[in-house]
Amino acid sequence: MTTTKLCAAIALMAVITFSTRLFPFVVFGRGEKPAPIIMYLGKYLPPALITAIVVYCFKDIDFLSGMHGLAEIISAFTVIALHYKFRNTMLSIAAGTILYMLLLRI
Amino acid sequence: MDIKTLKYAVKTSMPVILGYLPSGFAFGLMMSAIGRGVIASFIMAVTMYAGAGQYIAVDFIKNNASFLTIIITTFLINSKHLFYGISLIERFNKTGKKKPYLIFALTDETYALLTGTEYPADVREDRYIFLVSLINQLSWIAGCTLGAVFGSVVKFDTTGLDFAMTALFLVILTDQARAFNSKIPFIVGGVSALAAMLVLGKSNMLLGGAVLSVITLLILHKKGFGKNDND
Repeated sequence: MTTTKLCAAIALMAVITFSTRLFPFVVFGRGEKPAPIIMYLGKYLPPALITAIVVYCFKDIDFLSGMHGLAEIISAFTVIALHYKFRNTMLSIAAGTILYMLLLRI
Repeated sequence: MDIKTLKYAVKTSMPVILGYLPSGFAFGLMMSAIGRGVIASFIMAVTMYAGAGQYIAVDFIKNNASFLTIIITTFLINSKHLFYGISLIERFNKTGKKKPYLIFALTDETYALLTGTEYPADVREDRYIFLVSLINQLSWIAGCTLGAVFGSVVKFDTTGLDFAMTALFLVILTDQARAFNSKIPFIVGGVSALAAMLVLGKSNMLLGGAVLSVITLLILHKKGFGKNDND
C-alpha cells in the first residue's frame, strides 16, 4: 500500500469508526427506540462477523505442506482453552502468539 | 483539575491501562513488521482508537486491500457501536464541551468502565468520565507507539507475530460463544466466509463474507429467527 493510500485509508477508517460511535447519540438522543430490525442486527451481526473474521485469519493455512496447519490448529485451541479457563485476554493472546512463533521454528 | 477526581479515574482505569499497554504494543510490533512503524501507529491510535479495527487494518495495509473492503469491513466491525451509546446518552448530555471527545473515545473497555463501576458521590461526574476516557486512550497511544518503536529498534524475526490478530479475534469469539445460546450467528458467519472465499477468492472473502452474513441474518429473521429472547 502506498503512503498516499495509507493516509486516505486511515482517514476513512477514523471517520467510519467515529460515525458508528456517534450514531446512537444523534439518532436516539431524544429518547426514540431503535427499529426492531436494527436491534436484531445489532445483536446477531457481531458474532457472525467475528466468526467470519476468524475464518479469514486462517485463509492462508497450508494443509498440504510444512506443518499441514498443525501450528495454527494447536495455537488456536490453546488460545480458546486458556481464554475459556482464565478469561484473561492478554494471557490468551500472548501465550497463543508465542506458542505459534515457537512452533514455526521447530 | 482536582487531584481527588484524577486519583479515582486512574484507579478505575487501571485494569484497562494494563490491558491496553500490551495489546497496543502488539499492534505497534505488527505495524513495524510490515514496514509501517512509529508515525502510522501513533496516528492510528490517536485518530481511530479501536482495537479490533486497528488489528484488521494491519491486514488491510499488508495486503493492499481495496477501499471498498476497507470501508465496508471497518463499518461492520464497528457496527456493535451503533447501539453502545444508548445507555450513556443522559450522562453524556450533562458533560458540555467534553461530549464529542467522550463519544469519540467510547471503546468497548471504556464503555464497560463507565457503565460497570461506581465512584464516590463527591467526585464531579463530567470530569471523572472525561479523565477515565482520556487515560484509557493515552495508555492505548503509549502502547501502540512503544510497540512500533521497539519493533523498529530491536530487530528480530517477526515470522508468526501476526497470529496476535488471530488470537484477539479467537478471544472475542470465545467471549461471544459464552454470551449466546444460539449457535446460528456463528454458523452464518463461518459458512458465509467460506462461501465467499470459494466464490470470490481470498482477497475479497472478508467483504463478501460480511455482506453475505448480513443478508443471511435478514433472511433468517424473516423466517422467525431472533424473535424471542432465548436465541
